[in-house]
Amino acid sequence: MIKEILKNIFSKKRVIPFPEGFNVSPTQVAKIVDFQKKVDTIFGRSLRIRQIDAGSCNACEWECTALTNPIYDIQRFGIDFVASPRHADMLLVTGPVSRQMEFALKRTTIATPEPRLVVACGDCAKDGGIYKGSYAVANGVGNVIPVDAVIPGCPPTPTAIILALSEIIDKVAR
Amino acid sequence: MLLSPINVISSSFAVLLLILALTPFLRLNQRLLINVGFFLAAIASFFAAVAGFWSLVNGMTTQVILPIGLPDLPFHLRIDLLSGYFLVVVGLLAFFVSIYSIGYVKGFLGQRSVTHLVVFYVLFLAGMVLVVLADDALFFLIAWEMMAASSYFLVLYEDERVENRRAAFLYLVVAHVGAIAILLSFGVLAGLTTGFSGFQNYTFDAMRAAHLPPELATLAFLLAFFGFSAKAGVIPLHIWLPEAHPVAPSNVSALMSGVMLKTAIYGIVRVVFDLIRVFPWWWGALVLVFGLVSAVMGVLYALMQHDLKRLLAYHSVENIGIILIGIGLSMIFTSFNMSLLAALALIAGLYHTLNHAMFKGLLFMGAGSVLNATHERNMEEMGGLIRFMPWTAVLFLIGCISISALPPFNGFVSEWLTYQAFLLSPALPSPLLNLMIPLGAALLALTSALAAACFVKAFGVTFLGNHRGHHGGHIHEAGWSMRLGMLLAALACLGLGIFPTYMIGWMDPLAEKLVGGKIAASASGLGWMWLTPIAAERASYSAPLAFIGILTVVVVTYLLLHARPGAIRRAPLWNCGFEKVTSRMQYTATSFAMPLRRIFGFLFSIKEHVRQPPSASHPAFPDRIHYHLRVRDRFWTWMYQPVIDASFWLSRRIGRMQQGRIQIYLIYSFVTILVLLIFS
Amino acid sequence: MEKIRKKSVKTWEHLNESYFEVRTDDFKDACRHLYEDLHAILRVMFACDEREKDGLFRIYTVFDLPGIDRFIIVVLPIQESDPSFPSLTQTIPAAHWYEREISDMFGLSAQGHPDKRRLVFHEAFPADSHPLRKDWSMSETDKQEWGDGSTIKVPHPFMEVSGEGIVEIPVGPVHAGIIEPGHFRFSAIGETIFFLEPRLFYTHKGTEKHFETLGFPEGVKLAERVSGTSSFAHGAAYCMAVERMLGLAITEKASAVRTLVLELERIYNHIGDIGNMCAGTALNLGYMKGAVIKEQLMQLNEILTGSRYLRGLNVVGGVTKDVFDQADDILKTLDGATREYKALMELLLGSVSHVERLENTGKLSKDIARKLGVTGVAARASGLTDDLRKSHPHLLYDRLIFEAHTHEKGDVLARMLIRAEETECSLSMIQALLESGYKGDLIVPLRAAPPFASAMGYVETPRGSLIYWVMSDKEGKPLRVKLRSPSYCNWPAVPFAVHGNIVPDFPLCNKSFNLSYSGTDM
Repeated sequence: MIKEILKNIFSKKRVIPFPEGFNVSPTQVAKIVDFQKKVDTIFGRSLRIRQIDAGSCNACEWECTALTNPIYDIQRFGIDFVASPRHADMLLVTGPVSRQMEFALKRTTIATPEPRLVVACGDCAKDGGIYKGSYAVANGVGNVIPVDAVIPGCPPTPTAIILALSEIIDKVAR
Repeated sequence: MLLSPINVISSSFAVLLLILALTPFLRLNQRLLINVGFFLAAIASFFAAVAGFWSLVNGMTTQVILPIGLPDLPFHLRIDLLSGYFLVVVGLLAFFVSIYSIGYVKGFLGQRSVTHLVVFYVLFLAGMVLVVLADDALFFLIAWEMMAASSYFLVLYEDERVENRRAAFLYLVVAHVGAIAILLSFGVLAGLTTGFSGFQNYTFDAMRAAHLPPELATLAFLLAFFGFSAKAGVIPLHIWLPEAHPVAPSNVSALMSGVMLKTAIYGIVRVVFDLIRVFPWWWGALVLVFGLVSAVMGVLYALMQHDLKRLLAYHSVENIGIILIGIGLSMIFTSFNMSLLAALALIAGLYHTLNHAMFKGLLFMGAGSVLNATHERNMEEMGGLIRFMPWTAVLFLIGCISISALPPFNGFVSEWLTYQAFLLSPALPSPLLNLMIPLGAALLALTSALAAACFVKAFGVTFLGNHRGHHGGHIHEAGWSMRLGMLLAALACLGLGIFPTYMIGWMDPLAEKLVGGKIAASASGLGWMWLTPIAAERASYSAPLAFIGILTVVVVTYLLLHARPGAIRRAPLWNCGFEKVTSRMQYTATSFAMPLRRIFGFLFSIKEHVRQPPSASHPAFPDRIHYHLRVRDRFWTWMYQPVIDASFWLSRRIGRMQQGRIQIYLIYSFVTILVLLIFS
Repeated sequence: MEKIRKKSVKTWEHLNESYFEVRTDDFKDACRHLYEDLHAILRVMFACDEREKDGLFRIYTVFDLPGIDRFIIVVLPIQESDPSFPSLTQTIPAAHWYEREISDMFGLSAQGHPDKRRLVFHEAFPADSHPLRKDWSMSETDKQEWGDGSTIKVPHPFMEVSGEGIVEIPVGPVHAGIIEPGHFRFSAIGETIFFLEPRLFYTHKGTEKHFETLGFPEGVKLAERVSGTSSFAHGAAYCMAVERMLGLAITEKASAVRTLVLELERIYNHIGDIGNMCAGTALNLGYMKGAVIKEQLMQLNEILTGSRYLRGLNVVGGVTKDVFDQADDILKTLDGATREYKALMELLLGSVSHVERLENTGKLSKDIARKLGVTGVAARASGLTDDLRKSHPHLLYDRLIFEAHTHEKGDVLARMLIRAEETECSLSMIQALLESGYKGDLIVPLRAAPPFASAMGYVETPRGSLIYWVMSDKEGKPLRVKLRSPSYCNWPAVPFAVHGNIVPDFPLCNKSFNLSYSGTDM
């Protein structure tokens, strides 16, 4: 542990590079920088997200968790995931909404104070995805609670989530 | 007729006698008996408090010799500063409790007769007042006995349950063991008086004038301390307290805990500071040690309890410990002739006496109204009572805040003064003392913190959350008289907390009389708003400012939150999206105390086990699990059980003398007569 | 074995699966004989609605004999008029959830089962409604009420620990972090947990029924989305089942690709889990370092297959891409990852406060693990040797030399060490695979499915053994797809591991098992 601390103090700070061939275009990078400014002005560097799993396969959750790792690091934008819906500004819902999670999802939405945004993340949350038509799903978050935006993808990569959040905040600003 | 304290006290007695006289006529109409009896008792206690206050403030001492008493041994009565102060303690709380009793005792109507409750209540009050006023050993012991006996009958009020009888019996035994010790102590003191003819040597005046050789003085002190500790509930003689106080009716518990224990403190102060007056430092150290042990152990025991009244009873042990800490320190400083510090410590101890009477009385009254409403003493069956009993809840909360020594209430002032007595002590000649004083301060701090934790538990589990109980009966708020009694006690707590400088001013002559130091001048050095014992640079506390500050913050916050109507939306409790929250899903008293049980468990005998009865199905799928916890007092197994066993053994041995045959008894008589004839 | 053969009405074999159809009276005896006398492991127990074939339901009980590569499947036919079967739970505790699930989904009740409550469906689901029956339907109002969740049609009482002072702590479906939903009911005194009862199936999506509406080739997509972090393993197991049913043999090249990618999945999961456990002990440094390594591996996944979760690579008959073409990328990334991983392990095992939290916490005894049929990392950490790659070598595992690692203590530290050892083992396996060349096309052409043909597919996922079983109907469409993920076996063991620990250690225990809620709930 001492070694780690000393290494951190005496190292030249380096940014962990993306590998070659990794698909982030310059326009997307510019968007992400712009995103940081928007969160600053609109949310005062404090956008708090409560992520709810309404029956997803867990891939979308791991992508949301990956947002907090040192590579994507959304905390530098002032965004963080919170434990209680009472602290949240935005609900990020994944999964096709299995019937047995509908009640909990509605309760969580009521427990979130206004103003709040509801974002459906993933193909399943959009319209049920591969599970569309199963007897045990509600075919998309929009059928259970009113949704403000949708992030498509199965699962949407962390980069895609950040870019989508950037567009959502754009719309909120207008 | 000239109005003087003695006249006021006499009228107080007259009122009490009036109640006794009226009782036979009113006993058929029980409701009227309650109303008249307790109303008159309230008036009598009020008079007693006024008499005491008058005497204290004006520094008057009055002595009266009563025409009653044994032949050649009349009763001597005396109101001086010390008695006056304790009269205030007794009278004030008895006033509040008597008003409370008007409503409380009505709860017994229809179940049992309240006649003897009223009678023994009056006798109890009279006994306590007389103990404080007695000026000779005989009168003192008679009043003491009257107090003990009447409280025994009061504890035994609901005597159909075997544990009540057992508790009362235990109380009686310990009280009488203490009384014997007090008697022996007075005997030692009386035996040393000289220069008085006849039988005058049993008066306190004689004892004051006597010159005591150190060993006999020590013997007298030890016996007196033992005897009074038995009544005060100092560890290890506390065993009766948590048994007797819970089973008595709550107004009686309030009086016993709030006032009767203080008469023992009165006894100690009277014997040490007034009758003996010159003593070595180790007496004070002894009192200090017992005080510290009682404080820490008392609060630890209290933390383990889930019976509300038992918890409060153990807290009385703790607070008596704190009072003894103040008195012990005062004794130490007096023996080194540091009169200023001695006055500070003594005032701290005596102030705590009055404070404890107020807030413990308030807490027991609150517990009584909870008991009246729910018929339940076990905290694990309560919960959510703040919705049904808002007044009781708020007043109980004031009691909790006071006993946890939080500003702006009175508990803070007296504990703060005790801390100041610790912290302002200079280097003392004895190295042992120099070690003990900081240790004592640390233990006192531990006690305060644990007391606060305990009352968070008591208030939270009883009043907050959801109701855990199983009976679906409706729970109603207490009646107006109960609320009035509690409200007055709460106001007294607040008043004693906000105006400490006035209190100290009134108590100052008492301190000067007993230990020769005055602190009122320095205490109010910066005016009535600031309490600065000794010196302003060392320590200061402004109670009125603290109170106004807290009030302002509360009011401003409330206004800010409720400024815009409709801005706050109410939503159901967030419970992770789960539908049904039951009353089992809240913290219980046992769970609250669990971390402390883990740390301090070695001080108790704790047995905790989980039983999984063998079920028909596979052991991997239990269908019933049972958890059982038992926490017991180690003193019972170490001290009392051996003594009880020994005394039973001894009595069985001696019992062999009772053969049951008349020939043997005749031989006994014959031998006795022979012996008397030979040795006469 | 001979005993069972004598008692059975009918026997047939398919590759390494031996089916024995028995009568109701012999069912319990046969299973008991396998479990107690031959020490077989119960792998999965499920039912199938074969009424369109011969008017019967059938219950399949799959046993795994130790030491030989053979599955013994005891089959019990059940008449529609008498929908019940003798329960195995008293003798074989591992069967308890399977039987409750059969009862919920098919309406066949287990006689003598100690727990009469429903497993899969919560209170608002109508009684006597069994979705996996072929003739089942559900009205819209029923679906609305089910989703609404406020009407109680079949109550589900939780076990209450009696005794004064017990606090019930409900940790509801929506948990505090980014994690899947499930309900835990603790009975605790203060901090110590005396009893835990989990309630799962909040993410029940009706996957098995949904498979029946998609065709066999389209089912791969659904199989990949049952549990995100074992997408590839699920896809591989499903494809293996369908290929075995169709009688297809995939090429060596396809097998090599599947083996390599399975090991890649194993690595990123294990390293991610080791990092996650640091989140449970508040060692954020370890957590973030683990997350960085995992991110690098997932970016490698995206380069190789276009999906960070290795989706879209498996198809029935083979794989879509030859990852061996990018062997350089793989080696370079794994090189860097290995170095960082070794540094991480040094840091974690050298941090006394971290190791102290892990040691002696969440102990799962070997006895309970064996009785409940625990599989995978949890089983190996408790002293059981349970690795499908060794006991039933599939794909190219018979060519690779490795050991199944075990630890005896069964605590959280043991589970972490198992993951560490397996990571190193997988890294060397990938090296070995990349050194050789393999022949064959990527995909072999499909053929039509024969009517009422069945087969098993099995794969060792990062969490444990995964079993698929498919059966086709008379038109060659899926009649039944049964999937049993490793988390399904391990969930019932979690209360036993947690008993006696303090509440703050519960997230750590949970993370050490790292079970998939979605895989269990299907």
